[in-house]
Amino acid sequence: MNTLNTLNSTWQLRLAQNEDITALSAFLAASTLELSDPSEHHADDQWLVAVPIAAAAMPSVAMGCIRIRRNIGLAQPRYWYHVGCVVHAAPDLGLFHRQRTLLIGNDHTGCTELSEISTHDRQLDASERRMLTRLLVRSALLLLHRDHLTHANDADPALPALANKVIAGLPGLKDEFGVVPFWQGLGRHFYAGDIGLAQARFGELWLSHVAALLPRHPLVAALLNESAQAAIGCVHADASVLQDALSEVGLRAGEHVNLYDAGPVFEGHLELLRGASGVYTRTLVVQADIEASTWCLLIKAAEGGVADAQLSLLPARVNFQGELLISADDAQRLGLHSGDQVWAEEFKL
Amino acid sequence: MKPSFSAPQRFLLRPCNADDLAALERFAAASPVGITTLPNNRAALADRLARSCHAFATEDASGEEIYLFALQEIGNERVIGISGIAARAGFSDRFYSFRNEFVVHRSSALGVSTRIHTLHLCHDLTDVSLLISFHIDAAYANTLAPQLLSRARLLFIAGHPERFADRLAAESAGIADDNGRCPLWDAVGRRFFGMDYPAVERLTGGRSKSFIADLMPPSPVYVPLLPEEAQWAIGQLHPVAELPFSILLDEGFDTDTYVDIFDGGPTVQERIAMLKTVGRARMLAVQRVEQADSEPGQSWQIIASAELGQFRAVLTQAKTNLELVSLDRVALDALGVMQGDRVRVAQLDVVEPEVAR
Repeated sequence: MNTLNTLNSTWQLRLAQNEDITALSAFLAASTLELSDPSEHHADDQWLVAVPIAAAAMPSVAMGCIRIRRNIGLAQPRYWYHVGCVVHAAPDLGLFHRQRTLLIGNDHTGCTELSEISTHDRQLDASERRMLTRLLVRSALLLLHRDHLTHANDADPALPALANKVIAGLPGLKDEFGVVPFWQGLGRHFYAGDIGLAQARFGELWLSHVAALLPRHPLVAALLNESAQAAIGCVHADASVLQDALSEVGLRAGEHVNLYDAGPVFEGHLELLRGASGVYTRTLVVQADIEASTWCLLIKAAEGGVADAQLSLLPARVNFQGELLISADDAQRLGLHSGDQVWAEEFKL
Repeated sequence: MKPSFSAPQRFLLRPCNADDLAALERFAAASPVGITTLPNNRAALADRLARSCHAFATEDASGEEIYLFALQEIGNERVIGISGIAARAGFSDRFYSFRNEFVVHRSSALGVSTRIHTLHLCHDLTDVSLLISFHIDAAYANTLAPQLLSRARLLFIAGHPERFADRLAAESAGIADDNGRCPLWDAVGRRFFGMDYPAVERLTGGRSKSFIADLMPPSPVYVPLLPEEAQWAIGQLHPVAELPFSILLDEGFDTDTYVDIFDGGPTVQERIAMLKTVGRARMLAVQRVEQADSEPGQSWQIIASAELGQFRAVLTQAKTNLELVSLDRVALDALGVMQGDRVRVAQLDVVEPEVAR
């Protein structure tokens, strides 16, 4: 059911609040909301929600969210399989076998992770979902860019170190009956318990607990059954929109996969991701009529504090002085003012 | 399992000589692929025989020797069994085995502990001495002949400890069909070679098994990940290996720690001093008697002469005391010893059959 036309609307992206929980429950798993409260923010754990605010008649409820976690795995170890390679070669016999290996480890500890990238699919059509998913990913990265650049030369040792590697896990293969071929071929031999119960009890951390039961030595993938081997690094078809959004910003499948379904972990260094070179600090100028030439994603220059994370997507134009012109209506709705310093980048709808 | 017998034959074990090539060929040809350490190739067998003859003749043992023995009925030249010893397993190379290990994984949060069977590729048995090439004519499988064929080797080792390690191992054939297809190989080795084990053996042209093992993954194999057929094959015996294995089991070999990396057959090992026959072995002086009739106080004894190149071993019923072993002329002639010579004697436990002798 498509009740909203959000493609050409202005969006606000802000930290989730208590009143967003009801809206989030429409598209986030109940267990996710039971085990973590998106309205509780920490320097290392922020939930951004996307709210369309183009028209007064439109309900300003969250249509999507993204969770940004920095310095992951420092409180509770996180695990992934590293997909490596081993070569068995006997040139004089014409034998040369290149084999994939799986080695469990905590390789992404300390990275920044984008997760829970979700949209209210019942309220959005396919193109809206695609746009909103892109917007969520781009917003998270703009926030990270701003913070990274703001603190790059900051000598205050009290500030948390900002890991400049960004990762995002994609769901792996699962059939229509919920059977995960990779788990069937590997994990279930080491943990025969009820996964649903473990997930309900521990949320995503169930995998950290299961990791203690999984093989610690490198596994040659060829020793797994064929469907488990085939699943390594494959993305579930339902996640193609998310995969495209991550790819658009330059995140790529690295060498790690999820312990449960072998879905790939996309990764990239913040400095090299799209937007890093296209983000500028601009001075805002609010005008009644701006003859917008582009859609612009912006965030105000950092003022410090956990809650300093509000972004906007709105029509804009850059004038000859390099200032960013926005309309008075948008400025009022979004709480922006002439003279504000913002980090901004172009966003093609 | 204690051996029994159905006929009162008397047997003699002696070093192989150049005339035994035909017998070696006969046993090599009768063995399925992968079951034997005897190459089914006349030139290779002749070479092996020559190495054995040299080993028995040389005073300068380096560790690369192999010693081959032939078994015959006393008074009959026909060879009815072959067995051997390699002085050092994997000499000049590494000897690979899978070591059975069990790791316990525990998650306190989930309240789960799991015991996982793993196979670790290892070189533990490199340089131990190795019992090899046990072949018995099927017609003699139910006699005492296999006992002498297998255990007399231990007396040979006990008589020449400087030529051997202090630990002894023996490979036993694992599960395979007549075409050499092994469930364990198919689940593990085939994944790295893409071919049957016999094909790999042909491809490697008789090179050592360690050459093949070098191409296998060094990390442990987690047994629960293997197909059930392969899991079941680990530590299982090929039917042809049951008889020699039962003798090794009775000797006190450890049978649980190692398996063959190709077919999963058990590789037994033990310190030589701990083996039953070695522990029972005593040096006694020969006392000639007219006839070794069964009398009270007699028991089955494996008796071995101590000379390296002239090594002989017989299995006979004989009376012993702390210093003497009574032997008849047949046994003395077979052993090549005289009254007063010292021989190595070890008692063999035999279940007397109900069949009248």
